[in-house]
Amino acid sequence: MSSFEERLWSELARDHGEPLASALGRRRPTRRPPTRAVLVLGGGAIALAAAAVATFVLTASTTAPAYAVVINRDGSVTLTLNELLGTRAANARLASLGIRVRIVAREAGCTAKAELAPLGIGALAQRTERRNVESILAAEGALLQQVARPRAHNTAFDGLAVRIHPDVIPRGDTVVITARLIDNRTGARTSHAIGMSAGLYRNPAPSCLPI
Amino acid sequence: MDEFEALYRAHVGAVTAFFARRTRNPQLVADLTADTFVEAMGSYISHGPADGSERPWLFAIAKRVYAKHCERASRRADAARRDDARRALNEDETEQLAERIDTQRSARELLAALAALPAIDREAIELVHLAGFTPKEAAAAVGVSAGALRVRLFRARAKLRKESTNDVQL
Repeated sequence: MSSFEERLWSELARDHGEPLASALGRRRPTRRPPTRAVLVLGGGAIALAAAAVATFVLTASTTAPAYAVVINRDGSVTLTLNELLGTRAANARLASLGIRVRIVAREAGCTAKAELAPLGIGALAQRTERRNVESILAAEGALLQQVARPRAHNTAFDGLAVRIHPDVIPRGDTVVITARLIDNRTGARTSHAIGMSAGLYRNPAPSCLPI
Repeated sequence: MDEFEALYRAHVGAVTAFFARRTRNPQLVADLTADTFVEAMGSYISHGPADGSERPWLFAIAKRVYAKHCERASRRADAARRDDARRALNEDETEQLAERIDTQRSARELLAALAALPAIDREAIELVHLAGFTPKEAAAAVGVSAGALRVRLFRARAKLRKESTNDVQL
């Protein structure tokens, strides 16, 4: 950068940086009120049997991040989704680690070019964590779809996690994960669910996907 | 602050060039660039960009800043007061910005040649051919669909080729 740009940044940080820094520091995901939550397949309506998912379920905490990216000892990455917020930070973290995984929103007006990779994704799918989770490998390029349910009724919304081995993501492709909130109405009662799915896309990975 | 600093460093050059296409006054380019990032810092939390849309978001702010400047400039007393409040550039900074302004000369001429086109068409040409936006980014910045933007681009290019007496490479 030129000296003008460096000096301008110094002045911006000095004169206007503090409110932004404190606002960024305060930025916390808001959690939904306690409710009965059921996680369903992305876009689908496959209810889960009461499988034990203790290792995948997160405790409800007001300070839990919206997403967590954890590098495991074997080099795999566990991406934990708590809420449909905070994709920017998670994507920045994934990019900084050189991991070709991206979380995108499903939007009605999305026109981003999205090219599914050929279905040669067996290796990745097979090495994806399945323990205590029902995983369904679908055709049509979907990498994996996982379902889980919270530990008990009337708890705050719990998380969902997917484990991915970055070294088996084909070069030139990116795993694109999408999630969206689904409200299920039963009489006067509404339960909240999250649909989550993942697919393997040719680079450049789409910035959004249509609903 | 790291994430905003990264955004600043990635896009300050493009924002400076945006204003350098509109004025040949280095001090004004510096002021408008500063105003853009001050406004961006103020709204980053409440109305920040979505993933991948940082550039259209910043250019939308730059457009508003420039529109406000034009409005103020029409009231000379206000403009004079504002200029008094600004820190003057030093010699090096003035020279750097003058170089930026010079490199945008052909872009200014191109935009002048498009003066007869609707504002959105001009903007589409500027964003895609001068600022390096993808059509999708440009569509988001202009506020039309990607398809509509492509139609406008096609129309603007055709008109430019028809009316220009010089060679136009778009």
